[in-house]
Amino acid sequence: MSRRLTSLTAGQVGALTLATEPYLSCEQCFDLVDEYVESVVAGRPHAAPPGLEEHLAGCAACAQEAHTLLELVRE
Amino acid sequence: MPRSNLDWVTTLAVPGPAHEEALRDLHALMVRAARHQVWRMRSLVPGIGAGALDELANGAADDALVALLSKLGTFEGRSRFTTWAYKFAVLEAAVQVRKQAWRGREVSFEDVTVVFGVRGEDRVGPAEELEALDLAAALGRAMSEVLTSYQRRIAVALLVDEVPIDVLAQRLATTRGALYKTLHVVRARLRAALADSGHLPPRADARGPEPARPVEEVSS
Repeated sequence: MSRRLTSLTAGQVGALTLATEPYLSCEQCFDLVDEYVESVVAGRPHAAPPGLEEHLAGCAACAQEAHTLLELVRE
Repeated sequence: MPRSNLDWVTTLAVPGPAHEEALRDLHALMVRAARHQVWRMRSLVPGIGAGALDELANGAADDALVALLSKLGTFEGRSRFTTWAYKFAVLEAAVQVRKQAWRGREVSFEDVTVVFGVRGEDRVGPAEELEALDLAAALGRAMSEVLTSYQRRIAVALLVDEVPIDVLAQRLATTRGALYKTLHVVRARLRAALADSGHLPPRADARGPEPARPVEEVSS
């Protein structure tokens, strides 16, 4: 027997339909995030590798970790 | 005097007194990063006291140090070594807090029947609200029609039930990367279906809408 889904919040609709192209894996995100965070702190956010910001928008766990890394580098 | 990237890598790679000192310093850095992450996420584990949180952070730092040392040869110097080290501790601490927060909690992984739609009496109100309702109804149809049962269950677990991706990966004996890949495919399929039905722009790189208010529950 399957569960019935009867509603979605606006946030859930947004999350389900988010465009996350170009594809970047969580492993690739981990490889790139330290360099990216330093570029943000240095005021060069445009230096983000293709797909990294899209991945961070679509992956709550990677985004949470990137935010902490940003805080640590800013200290 | 702070170590350079080269100092870190060479002292950690070669046994000796300097190696031991570098290891201690690196461990201290990782404890600091893990503690920062754990305290940032402490609201997820309200029943855990300060001492247990510190223990969790120390354990995460230990595990992260092992992971880092196994990958020391991959450090390319594209960031400062300390930033590179921090990310191992942050990842491990975050994963451990998420798992601790969901310990003992059931994760629903049943298939999902999407039954919401738009009733006639809901077709009143500002155009923006009607558009949001139409989009939700079309999304519901697309979830039923273009996703496999597995894709639908992954999407609902991660984005509706908000099960952390590491926790879901552990329960399903898969990886965070594999689940994210599935989610990426789910989003692409849903967006394509919604573009076909005229609810999203046809451009492949168009961003999804972000309605300003919750889509109200609509029974079938």
